[in-house]
Amino acid sequence: MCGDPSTLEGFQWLICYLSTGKHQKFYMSFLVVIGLLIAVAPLALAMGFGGALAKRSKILPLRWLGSLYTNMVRGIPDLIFFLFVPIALDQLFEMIRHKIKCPEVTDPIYQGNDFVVCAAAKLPLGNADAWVHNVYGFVMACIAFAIVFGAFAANTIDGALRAVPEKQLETARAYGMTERQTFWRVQLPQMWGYALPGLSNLWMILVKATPLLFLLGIEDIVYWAKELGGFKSDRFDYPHPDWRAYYFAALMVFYLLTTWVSEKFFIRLNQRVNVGRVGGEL
Amino acid sequence: MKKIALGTIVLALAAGTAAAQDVRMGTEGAYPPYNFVNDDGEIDGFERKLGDELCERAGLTCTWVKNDWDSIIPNLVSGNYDTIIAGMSITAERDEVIDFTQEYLPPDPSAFAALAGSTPDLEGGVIAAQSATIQASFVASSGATLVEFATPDEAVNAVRNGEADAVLADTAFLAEMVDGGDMEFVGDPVYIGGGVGMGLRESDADLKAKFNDAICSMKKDGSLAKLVAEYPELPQGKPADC
Amino acid sequence: MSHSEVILQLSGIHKRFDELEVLKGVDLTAKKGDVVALIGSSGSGKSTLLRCANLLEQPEQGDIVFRGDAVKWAANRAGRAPADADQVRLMRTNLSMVFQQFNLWQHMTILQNVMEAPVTVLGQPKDQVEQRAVQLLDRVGIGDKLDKYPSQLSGGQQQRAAIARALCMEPAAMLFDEPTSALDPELEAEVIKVIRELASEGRTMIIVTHDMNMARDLATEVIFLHQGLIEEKGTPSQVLDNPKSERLQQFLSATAAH
Repeated sequence: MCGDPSTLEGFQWLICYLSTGKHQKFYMSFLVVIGLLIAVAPLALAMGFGGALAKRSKILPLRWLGSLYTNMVRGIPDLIFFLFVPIALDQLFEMIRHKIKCPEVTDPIYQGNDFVVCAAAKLPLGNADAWVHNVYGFVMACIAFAIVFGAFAANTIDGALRAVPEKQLETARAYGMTERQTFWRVQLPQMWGYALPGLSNLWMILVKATPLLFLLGIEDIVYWAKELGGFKSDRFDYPHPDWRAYYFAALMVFYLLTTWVSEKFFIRLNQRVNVGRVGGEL
Repeated sequence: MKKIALGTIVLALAAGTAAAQDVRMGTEGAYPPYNFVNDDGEIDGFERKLGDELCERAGLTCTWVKNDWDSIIPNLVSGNYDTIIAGMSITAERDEVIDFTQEYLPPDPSAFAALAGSTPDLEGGVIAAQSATIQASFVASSGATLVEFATPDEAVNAVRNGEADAVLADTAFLAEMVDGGDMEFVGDPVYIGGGVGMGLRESDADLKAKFNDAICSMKKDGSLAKLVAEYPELPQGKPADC
Repeated sequence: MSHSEVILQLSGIHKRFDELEVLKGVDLTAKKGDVVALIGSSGSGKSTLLRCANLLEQPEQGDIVFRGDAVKWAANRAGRAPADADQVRLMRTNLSMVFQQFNLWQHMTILQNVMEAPVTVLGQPKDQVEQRAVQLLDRVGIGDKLDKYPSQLSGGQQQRAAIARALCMEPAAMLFDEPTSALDPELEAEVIKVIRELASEGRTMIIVTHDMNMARDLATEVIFLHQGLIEEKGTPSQVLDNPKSERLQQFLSATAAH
């Protein structure tokens, strides 16, 4: 049906245009963004938990580590962190693999500007399929996002844990609960109600931060919108003038929809976690 | 040659896999006719065809990687891919950080383009260019005001929406972009930068030698000239001899 | 003699908060079946004394003996702290506290509140605890509120649930910290009625209260604290009807004027 695009007209042209291989990659990139959001949320939450627990730990070095983590991420511009983390992690992994897999290579890893590890230490291996590279890049991006958003989540969770009324905890102790039981049975469940507004806010920021993916070398929706929307000369099967405005409008609809769905979700979640709290929903 | 063969064997043994060396080719994918993403979403253009041919002649298994221009050199250096083949002019400044093969295209003169019918002030007006290009350095050191963009496409669009008076870019690329008819070349061409070559890590002497040999063989048997002729926008002059 | 088993004995209790010395050497003994009422104006230290009994506050000096077992102390930077956490927990599970502000756990239903400590802390089987909890909630008159959350209940209902929570621990003694002070007068009565029943069962209780009628009716011993010291103690008729000290007389006439 789309044999020779130059003979197509009107609606049929549009249909064929919108189903090119390039457009299919565009559609797939929406799944990448949604996948990132779904993967990062629990990771960041876990990092946030770890950070908050470390900050409150009885062990001094752990406390330092927790404060260092949250303060560092908060103090350094996100963008720098996003660029730094994947490169640093990638080089770290490759360096470790280099030492294990190629102990016979004695050349230095840093040669002038170059970072050189043996072929077997490469991550992913140089001969790996493109999709392996893509997945690897995606995982790195998830880690970078999780580290950054985990630090913010750690602060939110830490603050929420502090917000749980002392009397509730004292009562738990008065009934013989250990510190551990007090934390898991009373403080933690009650924390959610205090943390949720901050966490939902963080989620919204995360949604809006996904275009940073392209900086990490992942072809996300913003990349494809720019690429597809740009002026296309007769060299292309479907030449067209600059259509980026339409593509960006589509992205706006996507982001608005995502935030709208998120909002609905958080309203319901808020009702759930606030059950029983004074002034909360019942 | 013997040394290279030995190196290949060692590498193959270390990796324990394919005998042919795997090379990742980094390109921008946004710079027609040099390199761009076609309607199937594949990397296409002069450099795609050239690169595939070079790899075949050098006996390499090549895969293509897209990377935006701004970070194309850092990501080569840190090993994300092994070559840059992206219409990159050989300049002394870049040569300090990476190595280049011999040129496969002679210098492509840079040119200004502006809205059709306009008469921009090329020496004192606002000129758009892609960041980290020879054109951007040129504008910055001229009397004009430089506005930089991450992609060449955006630099051209800055003229279309009035943000800049004119854009300075490689003639071949601009020829493609003024195709629409709303823009035209203005002023004289500017001769900056050297010929176009492939970028490699300085520590990758073996790979550089292989590509140099392959480029040389294409120059000698006339296949390079033939390939360039398929893209009339490209500089058709003869690149430097091997 | 079975009636004279000493459940809790505090002697020479000193407690200070920074510069303020709240308790300056106070003794208290509660034998099985005793109902000890602690009275005194606010700031007299009566609530602090009660909180020292289950170590929610740690006195700097003085001994606490629970069923013949003296609390072991270990020196630390701040002075001293209980040395044996298991011992403290054993005491706390046997001295169930009822708070002025009820302090029901907000995220649990009433039934869950009552079941929580016996299941989590004492490790008793859930079904058994649930059976007991339902009975207790029935008994305090809120058997129809099992699945409600604390914030859905009136103050009086919450305090009765809190009493059921304390009872469900099957404690050796109950500690009441002004259990009716936060309640409107019309809700007070329903709570007092429950406490009265408990007293008539012969339960050991220590009650901090501002309610002289309750003290008179229920207590086997009334202790009047003034500025961190025991000013007077004895049977309700001795202390409340024939006060010897001037301060107690003033205190009683002030509360009677209310």
